[in-house]
Amino acid sequence: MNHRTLLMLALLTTGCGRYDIDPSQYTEEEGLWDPQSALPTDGGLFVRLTRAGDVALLTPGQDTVRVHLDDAEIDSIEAGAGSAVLTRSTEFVCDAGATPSKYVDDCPSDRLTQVGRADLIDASGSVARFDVGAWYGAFTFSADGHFAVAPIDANRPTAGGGLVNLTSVLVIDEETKTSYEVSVGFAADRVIFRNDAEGKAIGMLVLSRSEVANVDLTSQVAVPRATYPLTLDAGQTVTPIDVALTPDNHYALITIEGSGDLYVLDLESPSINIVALAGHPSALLVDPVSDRTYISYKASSRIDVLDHVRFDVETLDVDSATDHLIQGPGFVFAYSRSGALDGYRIDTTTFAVDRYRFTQPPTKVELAPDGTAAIALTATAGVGRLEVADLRQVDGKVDTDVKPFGLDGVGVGLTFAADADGSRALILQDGVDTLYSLSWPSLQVKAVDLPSPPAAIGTMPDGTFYITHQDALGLVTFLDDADNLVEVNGFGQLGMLDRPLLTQEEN
Amino acid sequence: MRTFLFALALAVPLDAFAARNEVSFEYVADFHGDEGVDMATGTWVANAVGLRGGGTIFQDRRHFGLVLDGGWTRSFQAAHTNGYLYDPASGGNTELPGYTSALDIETLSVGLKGDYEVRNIFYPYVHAQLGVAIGSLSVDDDNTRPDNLNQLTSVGAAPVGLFGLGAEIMLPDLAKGWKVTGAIFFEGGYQAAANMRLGDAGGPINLSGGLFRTGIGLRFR
Repeated sequence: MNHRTLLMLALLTTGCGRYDIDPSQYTEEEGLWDPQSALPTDGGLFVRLTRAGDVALLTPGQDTVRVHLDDAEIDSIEAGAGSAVLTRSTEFVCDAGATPSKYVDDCPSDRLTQVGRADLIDASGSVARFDVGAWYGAFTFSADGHFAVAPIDANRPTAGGGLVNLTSVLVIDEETKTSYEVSVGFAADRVIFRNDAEGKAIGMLVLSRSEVANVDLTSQVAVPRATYPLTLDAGQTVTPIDVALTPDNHYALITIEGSGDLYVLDLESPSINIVALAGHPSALLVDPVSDRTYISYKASSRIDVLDHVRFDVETLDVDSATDHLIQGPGFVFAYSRSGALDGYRIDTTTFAVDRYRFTQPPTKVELAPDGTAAIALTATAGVGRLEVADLRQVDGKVDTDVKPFGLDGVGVGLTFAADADGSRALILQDGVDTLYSLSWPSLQVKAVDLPSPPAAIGTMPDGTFYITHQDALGLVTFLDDADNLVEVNGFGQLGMLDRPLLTQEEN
Repeated sequence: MRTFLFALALAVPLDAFAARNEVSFEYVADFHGDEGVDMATGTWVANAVGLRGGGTIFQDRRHFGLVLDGGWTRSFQAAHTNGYLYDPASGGNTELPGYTSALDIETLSVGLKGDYEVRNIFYPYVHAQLGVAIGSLSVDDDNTRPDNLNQLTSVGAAPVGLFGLGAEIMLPDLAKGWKVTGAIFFEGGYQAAANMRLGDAGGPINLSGGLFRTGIGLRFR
C-alpha cells in the first residue's frame, strides 16, 4: 500500500461514527394515537391511531393488529359489537383528472371532496361499510347489537350532501349490512330502543323538537308507526329531555325541559297522558321488578314513585335533594353530584329508605357488579377520597356506616371487575401515577405500580382491567385478577408516515 | 465502521488500476420536500455529508476524462414532536406528550463522471450515479430513560438515481514529486428515488428532488 492509499484511508476514516444534533421542534394536532378512544370487545382492545387514520387491535401477549382501510381515514370508534367495532371515517375523492397521484395531498383542495362513511371492523378489516353523511351525529346502539341509529347533528355541515332531509335519522342494520334514512321529526337528538323479553330490539322512540316518533323495527326496514306531538301550539317549542319505557313496553315516560309535567305516551293505542310532578325532575329510573318509576328532583328533598297502572305518585321523603339514580338488585340508589353528602338505598319491595352519609360530596358513584356495595369517588378542595357504602341487607337491616379511604389525588375514574372472592374496583386519580385496586368485600387496597402515568381505565369483557397511558408512541397495560401486568406498547408508530390515499371512484 | 469498510473496498482497487485517483469529502443537500421526512426530521431538506472516491478509467488527448466513482453519504436529522389537542370549549390547546424521531439516511452510489480539462485547472463535468438509499427511522417517547419501552426503529430501502452538472477547480501539485493536489467542486442536479416504506412506520417517503453537492478533495496524478 503506497502513500496515496494511506492518505485516502486516513481521510475516509474521519467520516465514521454518529454525530449528535439538536432536534428540530415540531407540533402536530392530536398525537399519534388517542388513549381516550380505547374500546374493549370480545376480540381485544381497539384504539384509534389518529395520525395513520387506522385502528389498532391490542390483545395481551399477542401481536398488535393494525386495521387499515385502503381508501378512508378512520375518524372515530363509535361502539363495539361482539368482537367488532363500528367506526366513522372519511373518504377523499378527487375530481377526475385533477391529479394522476393516488395521494390526498396531491389533489388541489378545491377539487377534493370528503365523503362520510361507517365501517364494521374486526381484526380482519372492514366486514361491512355504510354510507353515512358527515352531518349525522353520534350513534346509539340497540342492546342486541342489531341496530345503530344516528340523528342529524345541527353543528355539523350539510354541504356536499345535496338536499339533506333534516327530519331524518340514519339507521344501520348490522345484520343485513344495510343503512337507510327514516323521517322522524326535526332536530331529533335522542333515541331509545324498545326490546322484547329476549332483549331483541323491536322498536325505537326518537325524541325531536316538540314531538316523539315511535318507530317499528320488526319489518325489513324501520317504519314510523305513530308520531306524538308534545304541543298543539305551533308557536311553542317543547324540548323532551329524558325518556324511559315501562317494562312491558306499553308506555313511554318523557320529561320536558323546564317543566314539571311528565308526558306518558301510550305506545299501544297512541295517546298522551300528562302527570303533574312536584317540579322539574333531575333523574328518572324505571325499576322492572317493582314495575314502578323513581323520580328525583334537584330542587326538592323527595323521591317520587310512580306506578304504571294508574300513574299515581307516592312520595318518599329524604333529607336532601338528589340528581342521580342507579338501579341495583332489589333497590334503587339515589345520590347527588351537586354538593350534598347523602346517598339513599331505596328498597323496591318495602320502599324503606336507608340513608348513607359520605364524608365529602360524591363526584361519581358505581355499584359493585353484584350490587352489594356502592363505591363513591368524593372530593372537596382538591382532597380526594374513596368511600364504600355496604348495601347488603342482613336480617332486613343494612349497615349505613360509610368506609372512607384517602387518595393521593382526586379520583377521576372507577371501573369494576368481578373476581372469585367478590369484585375489585380500580381507581384512577388525576395526575397521579399510582392506581389503587380495592377488593370487595374484604376492603383490601393494593397500589398498582405502572410503567407510566395512566390516562384512562376500563374493564375487558373477561374481567381483565386495561389502563391506557399518555405515552406518545403507545402504551396500554392489562392487569388480570392475579395482579399480572402485561404491557402492549409501540403501536402508536404504526403507519405514522403513511400518506392518506384518495378513494378511487368506480367507473 | 461501515464508512471505513466501504471506503477501503472502494479506494484500494481504484488506487491499483486507475491512472488518476481522487477522494473527496462532500456535502449534499437533497431538496425532497417529502411530508413524511419533514414530520420525522422537521425539515424539507436532507442535509448529508459523505465521502467519495474514484479513479480515471479513460483519458484522451483532447482533455476529456471519464472517472468511475463511488460514494457514501449520510443524512442524520432529528425532530421533537409535541402533540396538542384543541379544546373547542375553552378555545385553547391541551399539550400532549411528545416524542423524538431521528431519520438516518445512508446512500451508497456508483457512477460515471465525464470531465473536460480547461487550462489544466478548471474541469466542468457531467455526473450520473446509481445507488441505494437505506433509511432508518428511530422514535423514542422518553429519551431521558435508557430503559424506555418505546424505543422503536423501522428500516427501509429504495433505489436512487442521481444526475448532476458541475465544475471542479483543481490546484497545481502540492509539492514536487508528490503528484497530489487539492480540488473544490460544485454540482447541481436531481435525485430520482423510488418510494421507501419504513417498516411499521409505513410511508412511503420519497427522496426525489433537487440536489446540490459541494466538497473538497485530493487528486492523485
